[in-house]
Amino acid sequence: MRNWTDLTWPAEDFSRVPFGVFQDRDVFEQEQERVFRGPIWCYLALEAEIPNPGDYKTAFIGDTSVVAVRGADGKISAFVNSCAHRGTQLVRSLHGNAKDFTCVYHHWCYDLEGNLIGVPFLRGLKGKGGMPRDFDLRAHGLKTLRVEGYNGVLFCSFHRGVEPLADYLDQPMRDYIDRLVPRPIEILGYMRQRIPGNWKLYLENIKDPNHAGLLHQFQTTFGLYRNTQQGASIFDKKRRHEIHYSTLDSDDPDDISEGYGGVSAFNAELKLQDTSVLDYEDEIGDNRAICMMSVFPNVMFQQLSNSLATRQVRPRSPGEFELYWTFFGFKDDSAKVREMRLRQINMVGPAGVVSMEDGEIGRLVQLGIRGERHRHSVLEMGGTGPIENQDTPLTEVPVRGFWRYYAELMGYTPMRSAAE
Amino acid sequence: MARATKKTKKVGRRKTTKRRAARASKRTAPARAANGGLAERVEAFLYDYIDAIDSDRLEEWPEYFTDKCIYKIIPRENVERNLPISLVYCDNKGMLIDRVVSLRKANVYNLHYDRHLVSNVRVLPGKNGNCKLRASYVVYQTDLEGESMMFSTGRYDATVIGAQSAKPKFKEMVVTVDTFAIPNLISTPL
Repeated sequence: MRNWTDLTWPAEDFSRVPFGVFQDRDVFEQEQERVFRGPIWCYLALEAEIPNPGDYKTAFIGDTSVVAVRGADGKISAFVNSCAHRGTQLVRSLHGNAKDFTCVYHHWCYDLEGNLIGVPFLRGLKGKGGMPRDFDLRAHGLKTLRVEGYNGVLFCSFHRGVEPLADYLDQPMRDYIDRLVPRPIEILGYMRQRIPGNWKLYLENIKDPNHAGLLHQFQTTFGLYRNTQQGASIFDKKRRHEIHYSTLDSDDPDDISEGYGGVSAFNAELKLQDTSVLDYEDEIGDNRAICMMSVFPNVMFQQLSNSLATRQVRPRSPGEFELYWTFFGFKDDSAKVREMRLRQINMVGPAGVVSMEDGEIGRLVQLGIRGERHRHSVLEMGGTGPIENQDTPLTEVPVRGFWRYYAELMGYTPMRSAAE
Repeated sequence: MARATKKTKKVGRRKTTKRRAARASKRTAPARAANGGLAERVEAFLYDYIDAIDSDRLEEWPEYFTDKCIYKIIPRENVERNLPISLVYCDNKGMLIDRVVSLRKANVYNLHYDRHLVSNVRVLPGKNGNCKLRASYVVYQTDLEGESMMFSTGRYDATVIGAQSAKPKFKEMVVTVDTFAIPNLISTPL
């Protein structure tokens, strides 16, 4: 591995991250190649979004637009949304059902797997024009991606050598998906949030359980989540994914006043007129009211009370990303649980009384690091050194796990520290 | 033609202005006149409501609603796909009060001014003094350094009760957001 920019990584344990990675245009461009087209699996869609043959949906891998399609045989394909002829955006609606895909420009026609099946005037007319005799349609299909699914969650990859999805996820992450999706899904709706910050700031945010009990006063005050509760972080073998959970009602008033005494995050004055948004049905049965998972590079799975969703981080430029939320329930939801899912959105999303701060904090960090590309953040909460499972929320060790794999893909070499 | 005297000229101009005004009022008058002033009252109520938000009198905002009410902000893409998830969903005044208290005391959000522009206001009278209200809106947000941006545009669909009374209220206000790629976050009401 070699450093290819002038940004330095002074700590071997990735407890120092150069602010330039959040700002530089050439870092952004390299990420498209080395991360998003590297040996990773990128979240594509939920199978329940494209249930029938011919159903399709557009998605993003990095900033590349791709289309996910269910074929006539039920198999899912994915291809880059760009005509093989001269690059025109092929699929112009966000979702739908089709028998084939025809480019508006010259009507090149592709089947649902992305094979080129027709070119108008292929042989010209009356001996004039047309394509060369040796033009082989089979050599001009759409650029396809590998697609694999786990329990109704679809991932895709440009990389021909990446390990199978099940191995990429590893056991704890597969168990999490099994826990989150035990039954057939029903899609409930979407939210989109354009956050004026670098996409990696959101990964840092969701892999940081410590912030959640300090920034988000709404959930701290009402006990939905506090840093004084029992919580843990579990990694995969390579430390690039992470699960964090907390247990409701696991802290006592002494813990709370010791932990939060003197810290203004806990506002005892805040009283709700209507507490229905806090109602929680333990449908899974393990009393984990909040359980979140991040999968490298850019997706998060959410269980917050009974609000279930995927959150995909879609980079648009060094200073902007779209957070794309897909909310779901189950086909057999009772009316009561369905109503709770619809009501609990008041806590999440761009208007969420809990989540809105994550948007604002992305903006504030991006503003704060302007002109500071050679300065480094300090990631020492929870300790320095090895990246191991955590049994407390008072940590930012999971954030270092993200940087470690990111640096590997990007070809960054951290310096050995002077002490070693 | 003899040069017009001053007196004639003045009168002539008044008549032309009057005719122009009469034509203009005919274009908009029928909808209002037929409702006996209902449309005007409801529109005035809507403007009072908007003014409370834009003037940062957020504590007044819930008082424009009945105790059991609906306030919903929903992305247009979900409406078109018949999906139920909204961005904000309140079904009683208490939840609206809670949102204001949360903004004032707990939430961290971009400090800004709001400026609503509302137009294409249509009022449809219903039964028992209720009516339906539909309008287009645009909200501009201005940051602390005086930079304004178009934050959101979309449609209001509302049910107003007691439209003819001294204190009308919203029984329902559904905001369908065309700008569903939300610029960062929604804090103050749309």
